[in-house]
Amino acid sequence: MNKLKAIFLPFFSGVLLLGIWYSVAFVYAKNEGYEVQRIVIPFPHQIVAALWDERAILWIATRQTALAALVGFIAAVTFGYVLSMLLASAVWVKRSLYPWILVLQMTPVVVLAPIFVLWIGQGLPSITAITFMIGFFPVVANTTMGLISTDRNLIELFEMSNASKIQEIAYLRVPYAMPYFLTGMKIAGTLAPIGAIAGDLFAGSSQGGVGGIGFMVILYNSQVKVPELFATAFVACFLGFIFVGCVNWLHWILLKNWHESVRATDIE
Amino acid sequence: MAQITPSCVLISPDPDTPLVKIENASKRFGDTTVLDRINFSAKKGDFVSLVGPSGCGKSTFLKLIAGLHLASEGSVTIDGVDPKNAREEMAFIFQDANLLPWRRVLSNVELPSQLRGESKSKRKETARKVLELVGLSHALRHFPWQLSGGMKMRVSIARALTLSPKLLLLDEPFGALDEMTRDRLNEDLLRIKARDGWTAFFVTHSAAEAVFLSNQIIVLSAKPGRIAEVINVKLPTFRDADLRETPEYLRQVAIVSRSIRNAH
Ligand SMILES: Nc1ncnc2c1ncn2[C@@H]1O[C@H](COP(=O)(O)OP(=O)(O)OP(=O)(O)O)[C@@H](O)[C@H]1O
Ligand SMILES: [Mg+2]
Repeated sequence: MNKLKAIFLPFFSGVLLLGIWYSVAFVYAKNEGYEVQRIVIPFPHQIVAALWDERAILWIATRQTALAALVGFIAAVTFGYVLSMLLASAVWVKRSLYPWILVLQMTPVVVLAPIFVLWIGQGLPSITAITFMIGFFPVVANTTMGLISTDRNLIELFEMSNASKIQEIAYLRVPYAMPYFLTGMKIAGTLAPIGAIAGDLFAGSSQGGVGGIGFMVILYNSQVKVPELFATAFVACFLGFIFVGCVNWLHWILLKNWHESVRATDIE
Repeated sequence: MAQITPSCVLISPDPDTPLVKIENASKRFGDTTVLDRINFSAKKGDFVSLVGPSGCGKSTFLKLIAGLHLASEGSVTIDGVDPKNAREEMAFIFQDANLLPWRRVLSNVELPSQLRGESKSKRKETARKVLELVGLSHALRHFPWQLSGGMKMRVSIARALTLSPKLLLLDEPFGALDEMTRDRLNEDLLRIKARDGWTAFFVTHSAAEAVFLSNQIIVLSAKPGRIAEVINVKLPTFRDADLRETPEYLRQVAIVSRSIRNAH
């Protein structure tokens, strides 16, 4: 019964939304004419058609953005983790570095975009750097928190076993911080496609004919290709889902056996 | 008063070589003195309980012996050496079982031997053996969250026993358990002790538990923590559940309870 509801209800609301969309577009068309309606509120089937017609270009654009998002994301997670280890290793390291990481975080990335372009050039390098900048702070903040908040009693247990510093990190601090790290990674994963598209808007280029998704947005917008614009939004949304889906899956795999965050949702 | 069986003595000078020797040890945190000039020795095979009002320094006492805290004054030695160098002989059992939630029961118990660098097959074998000893052979593949409080404590005891310690330090291990489970675990603890012959320091709030387990009970007074009294428990070495119904046992519990009240 509940399963049926879980499938039926979203389907029903989806059909309803589609119906509303069609009606609004139809009423608009009656008043302003179909030519204007097409470039203001295109019918859903017009969007699907645009998606089909532009599939080759959008596919390349998506791959470019996905690549920038992925590389930026991996760099953010890796670098974020290493930095967290460093920050958690001694109080004086954290005291001297953390304020500057905060300053960097508080600077809006869009302001830095032209500087990146100046330093490392238009296109993929800059876009990746922007994605990295957006993603790395959540990873650092969360992972560091996990590493330094490790249960005092567990640390004493390791001390009683004459554990080396390396053993304490490998067998205690890293697994203990895993849920925190994954939380940071989830946020970074949600931000990565957004970062890559935003980066594309500010630092994108069309080397080889097509750019990333952000570049296509600018292009379609300037050509008043509105159904294509909607098709691009659809593609961007799809990419976001893939990213978040993968990170959530990783979270589930790594914590399913023991952590409350996963077990609590399991019971439902 | 003179006729009461348990003799109430202050520090008894020890003819045998003591396993744990605490000489004039004080512990201060900043300006507050938590433990004040403690003198105590425990022989091999002793079971010593620590009782006293909350916050009087029982955990601190135990951590001094473990070398987790350093004495501000005086000295603590285990078998003649500094506690930090005697860790291989010791195991600490914490109030909450203190298991690693991401490890299954078996690998939780393997942890100490793993940290010592023993081979995988050997440490699995030892872990299985001690888990059988505490009656948990059926739960090897469970995660801690799948265990009851009593089972978790058994895992914690098993983990402490893997390296065959000579000295067990237990900080209110059964404080959070219901009375029946606690009684069962107390009986099991004595059974294992009879087999392995370790020495133990055991913190508890319960006079009954202290009498059941120990041959010596240290009553601490609060602020600053001092030894108010050391009570020798005059009960047979062999003890089982039936002991709890004997008048002798009940009388000893009453004596310890009164001593704890007086120490406040
Ligand atoms: N690391 C520490 N720093 C400062 N003060 C501490 C520290 N550890 C313990 N204390 C203080 O020492 C006193 C004794 O603490 P301890 O934990 O030994 O008491 P306890 O007898 O075990 O109490 P309980 O029965 O409630 O467990 C307390 O007043 C506590 O505030
Ligand atoms: Mg305590």
